[in-house]
Amino acid sequence: MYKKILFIFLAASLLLVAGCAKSETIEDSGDTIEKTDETLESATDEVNDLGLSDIDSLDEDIGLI
Amino acid sequence: MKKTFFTIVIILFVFGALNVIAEDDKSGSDSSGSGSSDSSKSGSSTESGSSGSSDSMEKEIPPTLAREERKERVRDNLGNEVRTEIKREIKGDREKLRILIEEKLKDTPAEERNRILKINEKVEGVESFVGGLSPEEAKKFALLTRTKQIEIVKEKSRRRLEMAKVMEVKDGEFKAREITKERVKNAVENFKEVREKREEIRNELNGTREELKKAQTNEEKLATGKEHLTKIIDSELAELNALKERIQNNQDINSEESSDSTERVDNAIASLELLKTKIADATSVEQLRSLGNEIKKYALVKHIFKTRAVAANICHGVLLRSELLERKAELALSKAEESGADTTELDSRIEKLNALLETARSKCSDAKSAFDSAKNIDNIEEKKELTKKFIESTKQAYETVKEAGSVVKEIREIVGKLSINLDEQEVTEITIEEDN
Repeated sequence: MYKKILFIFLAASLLLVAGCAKSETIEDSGDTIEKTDETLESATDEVNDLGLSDIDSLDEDIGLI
Repeated sequence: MKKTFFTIVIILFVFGALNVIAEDDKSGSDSSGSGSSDSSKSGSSTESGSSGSSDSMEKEIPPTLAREERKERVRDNLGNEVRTEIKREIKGDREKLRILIEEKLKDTPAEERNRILKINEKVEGVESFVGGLSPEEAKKFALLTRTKQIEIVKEKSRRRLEMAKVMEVKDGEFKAREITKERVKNAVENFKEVREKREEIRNELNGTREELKKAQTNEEKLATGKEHLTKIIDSELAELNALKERIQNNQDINSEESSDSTERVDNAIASLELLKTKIADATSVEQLRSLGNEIKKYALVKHIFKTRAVAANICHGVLLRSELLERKAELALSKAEESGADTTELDSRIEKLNALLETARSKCSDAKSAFDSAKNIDNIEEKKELTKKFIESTKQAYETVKEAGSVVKEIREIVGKLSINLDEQEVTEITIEEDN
């Protein structure tokens, strides 16, 4: 009898712990500042690469032909 | 066995009780937040608000009263009396406005409504303007940033409210379309890889360029020129193909724009392939020069869509997320004011964030106009000039949102010291004026 009740309690506590862990993950996922940082970081390379220098050198190259 | 059972039951009981206490604490602090919001309905927010912003009130002089008479009374050492009188009048106006916005914005949280009370201290005619708005327009107005609210009241522009859209905050990413993170990441990495390879091609081009400089006869120029231009086209083709993937997997570009841009990039690829054949068949240097000039047109197409890919990330995703954070900061400010904390620093940081995001929006709007014109124009020189403008505005927008990001972090730190979590502020909707 006690074994059964003990088993039910243990299962309930496991569910409780799992529930707590899950709610922590949901809170963690809502960080807008980090998401914005990520996008800005990945955009940095691309922004630095913007420019028309290749068009200017193409103009010079055509002048050499 | 009995002992073990009772020990476990006691442990579970204690654990459960601790959880209940923790929950109570949490909901207690939540309800104190909402309780204080509700208390604003009964007028206490007016009092706390007035104490939080007494400086700005003292600066404000109601236009309806005779200033000269007041000046005389101040000269007669009745300054304190005049000040109290002015405060009372402003408080009265504020109270009238509070009742009005409560009627118009029944379903909007008190913290949002209270933001309108703040602008009443900076601009005249808020009450009459809000009084003339429909509930839908009033809701849009309440969800705007304070800079925009002030601008709109000054301009008395209901049209701007008509143009504005209320956007639901779902996951805080503001995706223009659903694309998996993995696809976005792969496309960005592939594009980066191709751009890195371009450096190798540049070195090769330096070699053929030197040969071209040394070429004496037209035959030599024709042969070396063909080799040089073909290498340039191959590099352009590689970049355009990776760019196509980057556009197709960009969550900040909607499906319609993605299809249109992909079609234009495909046309550029097909035209460059054809150009490559024509270059191989060219029989004179004049013909080769003319074909070389045509490459520029398609290289510009690459620059236009390459800039657009990153501009969309900045002007759609990052900007909207920054606007969401700005709204969260405003809510945190309302809560801090209600708790009676000193909010001077927080208020000035939010003002700065407001101004930066306004600049970013303006740069994004310039970028969007330049993009729309540049992609549709045929004249190469004009296309080049518009592309330059597009790149410049995009770079400025990037720098501004980056600075705004630093201000947001400062705000998070300040509200953290006031025991408020910026990320946990609940914003369900934001108003946007245009979609970039």
